[in-house]
Order: sequence, then structure tokens, then C-alpha cells
Amino acid sequence: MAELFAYTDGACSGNPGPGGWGVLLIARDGDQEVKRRELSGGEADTTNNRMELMAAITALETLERASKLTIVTDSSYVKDGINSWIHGWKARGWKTAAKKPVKNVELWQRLDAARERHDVTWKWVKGHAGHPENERADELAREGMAPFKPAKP
Amino acid sequence: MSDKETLAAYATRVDKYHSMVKAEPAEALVAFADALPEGARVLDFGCGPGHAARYFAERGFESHAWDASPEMIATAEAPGVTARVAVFDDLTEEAAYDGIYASFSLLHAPRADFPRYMAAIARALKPGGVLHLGMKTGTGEKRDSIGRFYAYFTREELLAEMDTNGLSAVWEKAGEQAGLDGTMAPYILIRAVKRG
Repeated sequence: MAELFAYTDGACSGNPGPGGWGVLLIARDGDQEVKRRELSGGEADTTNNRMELMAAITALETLERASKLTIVTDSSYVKDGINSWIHGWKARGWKTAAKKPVKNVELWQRLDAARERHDVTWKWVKGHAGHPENERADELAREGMAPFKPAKP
Repeated sequence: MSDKETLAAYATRVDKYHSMVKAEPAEALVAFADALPEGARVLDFGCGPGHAARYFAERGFESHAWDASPEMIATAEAPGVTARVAVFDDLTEEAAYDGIYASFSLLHAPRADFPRYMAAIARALKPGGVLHLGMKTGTGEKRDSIGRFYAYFTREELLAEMDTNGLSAVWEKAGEQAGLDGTMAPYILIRAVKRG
């Protein structure tokens, strides 16, 4: 039975500014890679955190069947949000501990709905630390951002 | 059959299209070539100005380049490349190629013709042969702002058509890119291997 991994990353030039997201989906049978699927996209005016969220959302939404998978991200914002903050936010009706509206709430809600369908394990890696799959997700995110960056003079 | 208006749109934009495809990241092209055996017989199916066909020749492959546009074929002709003016329906060989590279070419054929061409490609590939398919994704058919005819397919339709013809997808990439007409559009690249 193949195991499914999703490596996700976001990129942003300016923060806020043009940004992109990248997803690398790999099905592995033991150490053998069975299939690889790459996705990228971008927006003209966004933030790094939003692109990190979009990468994880896309990874989950793009899987047609309910799946067991591991999402590997280098974003501590996504990791901390999904592992701890989100419980408090939901309990308080999507308000922070300081009773302020949650930033990027529509993306957090979308991520929360998307993960319901699947059996997700979240894994955090340090970015730009020589993980080939994380590096590839970063490349895809930059590719997704490229069309939205102003042309160089 | 080939579409006259599409051919005319390319005939007057050979240089512009050539510089556009040359500037593209060639990653997928390299990965396709890496998947082929030494001395492979390769067909660049809808080759345009033939940058991929030239690359195959440089890699030591037997490089064939077909396009319905005589202007594109004139540009595609190069040492080591067998270039000919041909339409998709001219592909009638059996188990003849180790690789077929169809990069954003089959999207100019009507949707109704696509299953026939996918069957012809599968038939023309040797067992274990490799297909690279690049398409714009979406639904329906339309003509773009410079007169080119386009047929759009969803990822699921493409994968199903491949599977029906004994082709298993091993790699996919989806994103958005700006085309010759300047607008952003979603695309997909699929690499598939013929079973058997």
C-alpha cells in the first residue's frame, strides 16, 4: 500500500506583495517513489502566511479520495495554527485569546474543512536546510509567483 | 483535420513563439529525455519551431519532428532532426517510438478527435515507451484572441483517456502560465509510460 506525502511551501516578494504556493505530492511504496504530482499557483497581492496556507489547502483539496497522508511544511505559522491555536479559535467563535478576529480566517476555515475529509499527519521541517522535497516545493512556489512579479526594467 | 486559422496564427508568429518556448523552463523536457533509453527513437509531435527536437538530437536520440505548419517546420529543420510537415492523423505506425513528446500541440485538435489521437500515440509507442503531454486545462473549445483554436480538457479526462489506452501517468505538474496571446491560463504536464 503506497504512502502519501505532501510537501507544501509558500513564497512572497514584499510581504505583502506578489506571492506563490507550491505543492509536491509523492506516493511512496517503502522507499520506492511510485508517483509524483506537482502543483503551483500565485496571486498578485498576498502574504507569505497566506501562501503557506494556500499550499496546504491545495494539497488537501486536490485529492479526490479521502486519503491518509503526511503534510510536510516549513511554516511554523501553519504548524502552530493547525496543532494548537485553531482549537481555541474555534471554541471562541474564530476569535483570538485577545478577542480579536483571527487573521486569514477564511483560509484557516477552508484548511480546517479540507482536512476533515482526510487522515492527516502534520510534520514540520526547517526551511532551506537541504530537504530536497521541501526545496522543490519552494521552487514550485517561486514558479507560481513568477507571473505576478512586475517585469524587470 | 488541421485548422487553417490556427496555422495562420502560428505562420506569422514563428519568431515570437520560438523565443517564448526557448525561454521556458526546460525541466520537464530534460526529465522526459532522462526517462528514455540510449539512442531512443523520439517523435516531437506538433514540434513548433523544434527546440525540443533539436535537444533530442543533441542527446543522441533519433529525432523526428512533425508539425502541420510549413513555416514552423522550416524553422525546425536542423542537423540530426528529421522534420516533416504532417498532421496528427499521419501517425499510423505501430510500436515505432521510445518516446513521443506532445507539448501543447494536441490542444489544437477538436475535443472529439482527441481519443483517436491518444489511441494512435499509444499504438505508436513501444511497450515501456514514454509520452509527454502538455495541455491547457479547462472545459469546452474556443478560439483565442489571435485566432488559434483550442480544445480544453480536465486533468481527470486526460488521465482517463490515457488509462483507456494503456498509458500510466508517472508524473504530473499543474500550474498557470502566460501564452502567446498574453493571457494567464492553467496548464498540465503529464508523463506516462505505456504498459506491457
